[in-house]
Amino acid sequence: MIHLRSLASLRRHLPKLALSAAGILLCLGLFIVLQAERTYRQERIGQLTMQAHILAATVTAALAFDDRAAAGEYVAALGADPSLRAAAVYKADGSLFAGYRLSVALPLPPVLIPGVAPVEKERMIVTAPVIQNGALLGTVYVRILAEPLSRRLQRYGAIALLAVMASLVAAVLGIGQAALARANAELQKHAADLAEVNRMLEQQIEERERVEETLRQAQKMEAVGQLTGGIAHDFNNLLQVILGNLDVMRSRLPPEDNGLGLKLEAAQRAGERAAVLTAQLLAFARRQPLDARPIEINRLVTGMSNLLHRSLGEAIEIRTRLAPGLWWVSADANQLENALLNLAVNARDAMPGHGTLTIETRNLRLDDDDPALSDRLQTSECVAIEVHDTGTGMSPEVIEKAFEPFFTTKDIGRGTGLGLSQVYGFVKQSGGHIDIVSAPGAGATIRILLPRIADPTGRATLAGRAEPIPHGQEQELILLVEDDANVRMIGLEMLRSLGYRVIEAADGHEALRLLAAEPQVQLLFSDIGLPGGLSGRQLADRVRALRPDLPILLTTGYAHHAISQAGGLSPGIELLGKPFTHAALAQKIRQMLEPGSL
Amino acid sequence: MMPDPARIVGMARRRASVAAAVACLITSTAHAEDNPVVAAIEAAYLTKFAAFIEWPPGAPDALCVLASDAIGRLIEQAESKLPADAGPANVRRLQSESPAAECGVLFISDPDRDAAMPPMAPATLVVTDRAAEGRKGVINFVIRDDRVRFEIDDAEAARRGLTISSKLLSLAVFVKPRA
Repeated sequence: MIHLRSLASLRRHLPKLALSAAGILLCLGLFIVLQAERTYRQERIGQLTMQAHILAATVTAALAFDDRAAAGEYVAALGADPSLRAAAVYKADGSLFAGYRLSVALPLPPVLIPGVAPVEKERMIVTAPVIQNGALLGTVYVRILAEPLSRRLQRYGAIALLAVMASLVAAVLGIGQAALARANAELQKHAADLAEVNRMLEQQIEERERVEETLRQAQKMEAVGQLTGGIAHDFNNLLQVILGNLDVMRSRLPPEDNGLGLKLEAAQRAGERAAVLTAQLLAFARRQPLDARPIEINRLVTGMSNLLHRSLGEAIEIRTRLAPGLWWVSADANQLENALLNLAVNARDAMPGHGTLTIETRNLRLDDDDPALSDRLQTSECVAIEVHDTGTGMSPEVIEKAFEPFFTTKDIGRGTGLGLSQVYGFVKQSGGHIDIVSAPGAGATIRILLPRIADPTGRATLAGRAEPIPHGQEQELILLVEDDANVRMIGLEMLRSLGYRVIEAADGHEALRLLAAEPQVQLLFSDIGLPGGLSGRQLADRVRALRPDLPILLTTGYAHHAISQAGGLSPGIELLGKPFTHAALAQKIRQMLEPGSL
Repeated sequence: MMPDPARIVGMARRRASVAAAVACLITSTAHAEDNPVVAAIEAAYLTKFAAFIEWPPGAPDALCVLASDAIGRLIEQAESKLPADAGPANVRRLQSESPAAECGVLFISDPDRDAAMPPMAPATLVVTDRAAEGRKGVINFVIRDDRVRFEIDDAEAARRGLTISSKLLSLAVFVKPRA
């Protein structure tokens, strides 16, 4: 890393280094040129001095014997050097003895003081004494023109060119390196951007996988729901026959039954347990008939207090935190009670020995929390019911499967694995949402969200329990519509045993005919799933048009249609899920024939 | 470029030959005794010759003058102007009969003298003044273009064991070369 960093710093400083190198090269070139110029001058001066000395040695005799002509010849002989401008011999007294000039325009100094060499820039002048046997006879004066500047420049041109080229190369290298560094930085930035994009992409893929997983889970739940729903529906019809017949048999049993009554009861209990199971399956499949009505959850929870204490025992402390001014929701109160009980029992099982169960309600605006959830619920306002426990908690794997039917963490025989799936189905069918927040050892919170509805004018009534079976009167005529002959027969038996007069029809059209023929009919009791192009629901609508005041009781083991939705049933139309008991049927009919009686 | 010294000497010799030819045409009778300027110049030259002459080892070094008193004085004056080590140490005036054995340079100014040469050492530079042919010394003063010049008999110098500098030779108006 240090090596890389020093390398990067070197790269950063390279342009400066290259420019410095270029400058140094130029300076070096200049230095070489100056040095060469100096050397050239020195050499030239040396040559000139030599010439002057030779001349001085030559002209000694001419000076001694005053032979100007000879001296003049010697001096002129120097003119063979093309750079020579002037040469002269001066006597010891400084007077000109003999001279040579290239042209008359080049004057010679008339007097030369020995020992003083005139120095001039363009010209080079050298003087030398003429000495013979130690006596100074005179002075020689030689002057040349320095090599012309152009010639010298030509000579130094190559060096200058080399220096300039070298510095150019260095500069270009530096600039290139700088450009490379910039490009490199750009590239690094791009790489970082790419990494960022990649990270976002990975995030998106992750998100997508998560969504797909959720979808897959939902689809699995849907498929399992359809399967279980289909099975449960058929079972319900079968159980209706079994239980109905058992009911009839028991009602007709003579007082001395030889223990047959007990056996019938046992069979009946088993049948009822089976009915509970199929009801749970239907609940999960979101196909249980729901009697959705506006309810106040706080009232419901408060009303469950005794039931919860009984169900959970003394070891579990039960706390409630109920928000005041809680909004209204539309749900099947019985099923909601069932759901809360289921959750409470689960919580108890997760808290072996002791623990605290808290039921909390509050109003929740989803806009701020979870827009996606808000979209799914088609409302932003809902009521949250949270069931906290201080138990063992759940791992993510368990949470993922918790709502699946027959999934249980309890010991064999202790749980059916249908509790949470029933709750799940119920909440979904009620247009709500359910989720779990938990971690191993940290307890669990199961949250149910139900969409808010407008406050209703009247107060809803919570379903009653354990009422005596009310019987009907002979003059009360009920029209029973059921396509399955066995089921129809049981229905007939039940109604008759309750004291009602009954006429029956196998489909909607027959029912309409009978209704027209028998104006005394006081209640229509019809299955929803009818053949012949007229469903129970459609029949109810037609009847409603004909006899608006006629109470209509619909029954189905398979009611995931529009009826299950909140407010799906108009006033005067009630729903009874299959399989129904003798007592439930009796109460429902009485309630409808005499509103306010119960 | 420096001119070749040999070339300079060559040129000088050619110039000297031409001068010698011209000298034959000019008839001058004026002698040193007649013209004090010429005498002074000759006296000055006489003192300078020694610088260009090489004597064999052991040769005498006196400058002997066989001339009038006036010339002798001039020579003494000229000699006194020279530096101590430049030239013969002393000037001696000789009478015609005086032996000249001690003389390195012997100046004979009277060309008309018929008297024979005084006895002298072999390595003596004899300088004559406008002497007739046959009586000339190694160096003989002549007048050329109204200037005092000289001829050199290098053959005679060789016989006497003297070596004359080429510089001096190049100034001579005529040089009789060595054999």
